[in-house]
Amino acid sequence: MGLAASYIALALGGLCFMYALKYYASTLIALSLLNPEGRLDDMVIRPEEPRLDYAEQPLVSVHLPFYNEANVARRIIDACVDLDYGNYEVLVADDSRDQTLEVLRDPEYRVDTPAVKFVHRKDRSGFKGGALQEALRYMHPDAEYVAVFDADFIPPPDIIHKFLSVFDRASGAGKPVVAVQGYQLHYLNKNENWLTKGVRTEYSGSYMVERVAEEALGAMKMVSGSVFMVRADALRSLGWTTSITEDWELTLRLYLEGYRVVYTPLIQAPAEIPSTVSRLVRQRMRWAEGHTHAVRRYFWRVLLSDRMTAAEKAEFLYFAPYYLQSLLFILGTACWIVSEVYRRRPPFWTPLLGWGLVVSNLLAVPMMGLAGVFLEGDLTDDYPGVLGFAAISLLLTPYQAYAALKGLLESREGSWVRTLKTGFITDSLIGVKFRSLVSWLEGLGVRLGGGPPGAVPPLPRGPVRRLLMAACVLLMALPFLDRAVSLAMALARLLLSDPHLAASWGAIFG
Amino acid sequence: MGKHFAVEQGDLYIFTTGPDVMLGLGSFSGELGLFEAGTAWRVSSRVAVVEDVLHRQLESAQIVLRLHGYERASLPRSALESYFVDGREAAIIERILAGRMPVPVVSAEGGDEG
Repeated sequence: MGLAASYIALALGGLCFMYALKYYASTLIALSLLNPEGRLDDMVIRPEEPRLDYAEQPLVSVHLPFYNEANVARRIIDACVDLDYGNYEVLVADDSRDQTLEVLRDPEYRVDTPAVKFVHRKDRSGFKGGALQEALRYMHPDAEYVAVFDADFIPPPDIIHKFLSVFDRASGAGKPVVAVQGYQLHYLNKNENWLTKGVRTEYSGSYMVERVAEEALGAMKMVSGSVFMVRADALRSLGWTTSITEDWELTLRLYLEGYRVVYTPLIQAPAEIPSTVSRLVRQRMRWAEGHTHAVRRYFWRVLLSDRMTAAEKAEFLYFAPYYLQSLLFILGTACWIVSEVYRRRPPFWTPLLGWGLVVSNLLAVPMMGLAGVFLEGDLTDDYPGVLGFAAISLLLTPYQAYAALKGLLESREGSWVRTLKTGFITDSLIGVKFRSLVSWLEGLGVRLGGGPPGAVPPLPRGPVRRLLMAACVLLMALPFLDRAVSLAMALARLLLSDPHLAASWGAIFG
Repeated sequence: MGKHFAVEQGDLYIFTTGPDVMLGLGSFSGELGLFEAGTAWRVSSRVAVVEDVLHRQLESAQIVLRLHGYERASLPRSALESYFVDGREAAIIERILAGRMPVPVVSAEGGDEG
């Protein structure tokens, strides 16, 4: 039993280690400031870029799916009505049963510029995807782009210009760009409690590190449900599906059509964070179930597609068991402890291999979150969130694993469980955030604005950056460190035992 | 230019053109159930649509609308839907004007009175 457990531990630990390596590599990429091929240039917005005159502006339809959003409805509608763009409409797709309807009935929102339309459904058929499909039905026929925001977001006034700017710059080469995903800056109530701090760190790792690396590597990027703009012709053609993770399914269908999605951390819309464990668990269980269900349905179509690149397919394979990672880690660690108790191990097993796998796998995701808040300039304030993030990862494990298995095995998805938005704000630092990100991209070697190259001094690397990078390298090598040391020592002994070799060694190195 | 309403295939369309402003949806009582959770409805600055209106709802709604100066119009559903979607009032005004029949003039010499 001990030996079997040790082999299972090694297999599961090795699988988790593959994920951990990707996280560490992503962290190194995001921290490295290297941009030799200029691939990250697609992400860039040039603040001084002249904006389009009204006559040149494509019509943009802003879609806001609502379901019982009484606490935040006015906030998002007010923000969208005040966008700094001429040619757009705002379309609320509403399934509410609460006081949200009073907001929709308010004569204040009967305005022409921008045109504001409210579409209320008497049922929730198709959940969010169904509501967004209804929005497509009543969208202006001349609309060229669709931007989607969930109700708890606050899009900044210049967000449409930024989206269009990235579309314009990214469309020059490669596969056609169908959507631009921005940063869902879950930030507004980050200091509400330990959970919100943890989730804020998690998002920071995902949006400042993981997705940045995906963009740099040309991998598949997700359309993530909010803060994205998509070409209206493609959306009209494909339509929304009724999946409980309609965004992930749309992503897969867009890639299967030969399109690509571009990610930029410079387009940001702040949002609130689920502030109780039960809300977070429900949200993540929905994600896990819907995600895995879609993976099962699209698995072979994606792998056999001739319209997707190898990097995109590799990313899909990585995404496939995404919500089972924590379970694999816990099972692997449990098996490893069993094998330790029985003192039965494979012949090549070393204590450092076992402990190294555990430590390296355990710290990979928190390290990404730590790097994320560092890159945003929030390390001093937000580093405690890393502990919350680690706790959340473990806390969610059984729930996500159950939901993922449900999505994998059941023929139909469950129903949509909404995440309550409270409208509670503890932080709003958008201007500071943007400046920090500009510095970050300048540090990447990407030229911003109209100045000559090199005019903007790069972000100093600094000891914290070096420390984080060194920690990543160390943790990547940790499981094999003793073997590497043994190998080096054996080599040294071999060299020193042979007088001729020792003499040569001495001559070379003095 | 005008305040109108139309009933097409069981759906109630309330719409305005020109400088006329859409009446507040609060003008309809909650008991009427027109712009409530259990009904499918849409509203823009120019058009409000309630789907599958019951006869009793329609009767009450007509009273409210006429009190606010709305006139009943007969327009194709497609034109009303387009007006909600694109907000182009030129097409809808043209149709309203085309639908208005000239009022027959009865001369003093004519008729049966003599």
